[in-house]
Amino acid sequence: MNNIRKSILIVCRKSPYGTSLAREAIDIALAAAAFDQPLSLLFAGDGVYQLKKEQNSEAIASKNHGKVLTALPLYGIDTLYVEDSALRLRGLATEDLLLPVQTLDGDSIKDLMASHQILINV
Amino acid sequence: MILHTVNKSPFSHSTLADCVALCADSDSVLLLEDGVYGAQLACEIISLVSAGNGVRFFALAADVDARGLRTKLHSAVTLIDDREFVALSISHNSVQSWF
Repeated sequence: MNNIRKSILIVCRKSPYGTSLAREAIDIALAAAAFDQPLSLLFAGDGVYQLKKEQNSEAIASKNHGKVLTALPLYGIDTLYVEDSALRLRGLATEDLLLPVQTLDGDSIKDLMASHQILINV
Repeated sequence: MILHTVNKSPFSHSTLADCVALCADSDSVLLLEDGVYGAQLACEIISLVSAGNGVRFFALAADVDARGLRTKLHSAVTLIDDREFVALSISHNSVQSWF
């Protein structure tokens, strides 16, 4: 067994509710964090909608994805990255999001991806 | 007079753009599931179409609320519930599903 821990970047690009992919990406993050793996999360494209405030999914009988995301800090996942251009294209600002995030431009995202050893793009 | 339903985000798919390109003035478009992201003020497609002709836009309220979009809606979009969805389906000659 080797103990070398590889850093993981999960790129969340799917909107919540339409498919189960957004939820599954977060499940990967929570599982990895539970095993103390170094982990970063980047929300890009329609994935930024996962962080939208005021989600109320009762009427479509789905689990509230926003509430699932609020578990991230409890698992020690404190730094959430967001693609700045994706936010602006969708008429959103960081005030519309339910957790504090760090916005990144395209060059910074390239650096972020290059600085991780394992990339999971969902 | 056709009711078109669209269930994909206009930011990730061309479904809504493809749909409105083939909409007659008397047609209606119902946005549902991830399609409700098209009901946002930030979606340019709806601004262009609603300014230009008589196409009416609707969105399912349950899907809008699930995604926290109620305060971001375009004024051209009317929110409806499932009963009104049924009524729309009946009042149009046919229903076409874009997905």
